[in-house]
Amino acid sequence: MYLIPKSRNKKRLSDQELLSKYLKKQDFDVLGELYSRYMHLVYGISLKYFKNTEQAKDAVINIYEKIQSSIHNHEVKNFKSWLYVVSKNHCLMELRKKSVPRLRSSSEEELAGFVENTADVHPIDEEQNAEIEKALADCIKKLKTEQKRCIRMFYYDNKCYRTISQELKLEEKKVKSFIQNGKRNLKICLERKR
Amino acid sequence: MTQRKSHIDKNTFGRYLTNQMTPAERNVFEKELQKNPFEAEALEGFEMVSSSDLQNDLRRIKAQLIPSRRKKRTTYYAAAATILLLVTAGVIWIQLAQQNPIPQMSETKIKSEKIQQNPAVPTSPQPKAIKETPKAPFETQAEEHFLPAEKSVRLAPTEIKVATKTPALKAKRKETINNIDVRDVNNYETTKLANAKASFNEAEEISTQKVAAAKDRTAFGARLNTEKLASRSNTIRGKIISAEDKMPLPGVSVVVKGTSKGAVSAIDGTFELQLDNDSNSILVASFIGMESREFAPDTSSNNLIALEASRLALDEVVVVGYGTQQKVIGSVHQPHATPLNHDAKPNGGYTSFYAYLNENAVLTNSHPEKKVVVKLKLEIDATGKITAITNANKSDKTFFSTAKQLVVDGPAWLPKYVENRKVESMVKVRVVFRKKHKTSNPD
Repeated sequence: MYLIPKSRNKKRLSDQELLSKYLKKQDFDVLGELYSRYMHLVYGISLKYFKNTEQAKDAVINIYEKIQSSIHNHEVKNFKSWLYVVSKNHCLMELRKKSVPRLRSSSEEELAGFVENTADVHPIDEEQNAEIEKALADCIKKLKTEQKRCIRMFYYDNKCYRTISQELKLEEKKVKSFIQNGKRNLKICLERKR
Repeated sequence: MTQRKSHIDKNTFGRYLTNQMTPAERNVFEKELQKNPFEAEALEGFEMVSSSDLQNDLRRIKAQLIPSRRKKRTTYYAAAATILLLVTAGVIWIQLAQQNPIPQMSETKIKSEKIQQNPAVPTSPQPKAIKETPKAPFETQAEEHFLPAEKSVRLAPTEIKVATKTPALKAKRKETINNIDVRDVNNYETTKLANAKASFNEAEEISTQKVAAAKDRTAFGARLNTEKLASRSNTIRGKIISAEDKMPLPGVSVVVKGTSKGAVSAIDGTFELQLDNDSNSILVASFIGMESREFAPDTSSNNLIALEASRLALDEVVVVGYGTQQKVIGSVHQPHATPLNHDAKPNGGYTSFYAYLNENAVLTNSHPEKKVVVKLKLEIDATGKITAITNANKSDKTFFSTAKQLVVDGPAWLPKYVENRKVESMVKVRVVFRKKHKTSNPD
């Protein structure tokens, strides 16, 4: 898959390997390497929450410092997801300090919901499986029109949001939300079936 | 690949955001994002910023945050280089230090080198005997130097004076050594040891002297020999004892009078001093609490100095107690039982004050009025000083000023006392100017 970059560095170790290497040697270079792999993502979500580049940059640095200290306190199995949680927490805490009520609602449940876990991966995003396929197909039929169409186009026709929005004359954001809601309903439906 | 989650790097994001991807690519990207909330959120953030900035920003942050490996390497290299430099400097310094050794060492080295040049001579019994006596390392060294010299001297025909009185073999041997004239040695040596002559002399002197000292302790009759030695060598030895108990005194300072050359007596009271050649020096032995003692050094080793306790010793301190002294409570001692309370008054009393005023407050006989009365208000402060005099009855200015002057020139005032305290007060004074022939009554 072209999304997986060809390793420039022959010595490219896995996250897990890098992490254990750091914990052994306390070599900041190693941690830096590990962090730099996901730094763009940290920057991205900082941008999302702070909505300005300066704060986002500061956040990236602060989060780096944060992980330096807290990496020893937690048993981190999946660096990426742990980093995701830490970054998000940090951003939300920062925002909370400044303006109190705004983002309270979105914090906890979202975090709980978003912590990446194999168990939480939606069946439709998983690898194909015959049984599940059938159940899915049934459930999709039960969806609302818009959700049904979007899901079908996105997953089965492999169309991108842009294309879908153009075809259905909907905004991209709307497309995204339909897909999200559709997925949620499918999940409920599948649960019921089991 | 199925196990590891695919890692979407920033370039991919860049392409997505700049619409460089095909729809199919986009779909794949979007599906990936469905699985990865981290990336999804990041994308939301990215969509706020223009893409070019994004790449630059990320690069800048990375540079700031994570020092490049090169930097670390250079620091290691720098550290290594510094250490190398320090080590090199240290080595060079040590080498330089070795080239400038202690003078004694060098001279003796030179001596030994040059002496070795002297032809070997079969040892006579006398030198052997000398060797046998136990000596300090330096002495032996000096002796070694001396012995070859002696041997070499023997080559040259010199008269060996025998001036000893004691028939002891040991003494004899010593004498032979002693009597080898310094000059002879020098003559021989100058040819070979031109540079080291002076130091050699010293060494020889010391060695001969030490030989002498060693012998003296064993043979009493060697006194004469030492005397002969003394003419050439000037090490004074002695022992300081306390006059009272004859115990040795350590730490006594023995100084050549007029100089700063000196020595300190050892734990057993003994001391050793090097003197200048042929100078009649006086030594001063001093010790705290003892009388200093001057003495002409007897060049025999038995300079026995007894120090007496100083007459200026501190007297015993005796503490005498005289009892306590009562503090007087209250300010003024009063003859009466009642507290002091009176108004301000002139010193000497009002009677005499008014007498004074009447005496001086005179009207001329030609004055129209019979009398002139000036009422004055005096303000008297707590020290009795008149601070103000005012005209209380609007009397004539001239008379007022005259009256004022009279008061000022008059007796001093005592301030008002209230309960033994001095206070400010105001006093009224009536000055009556009359014509002279009448005596006035005080008010």
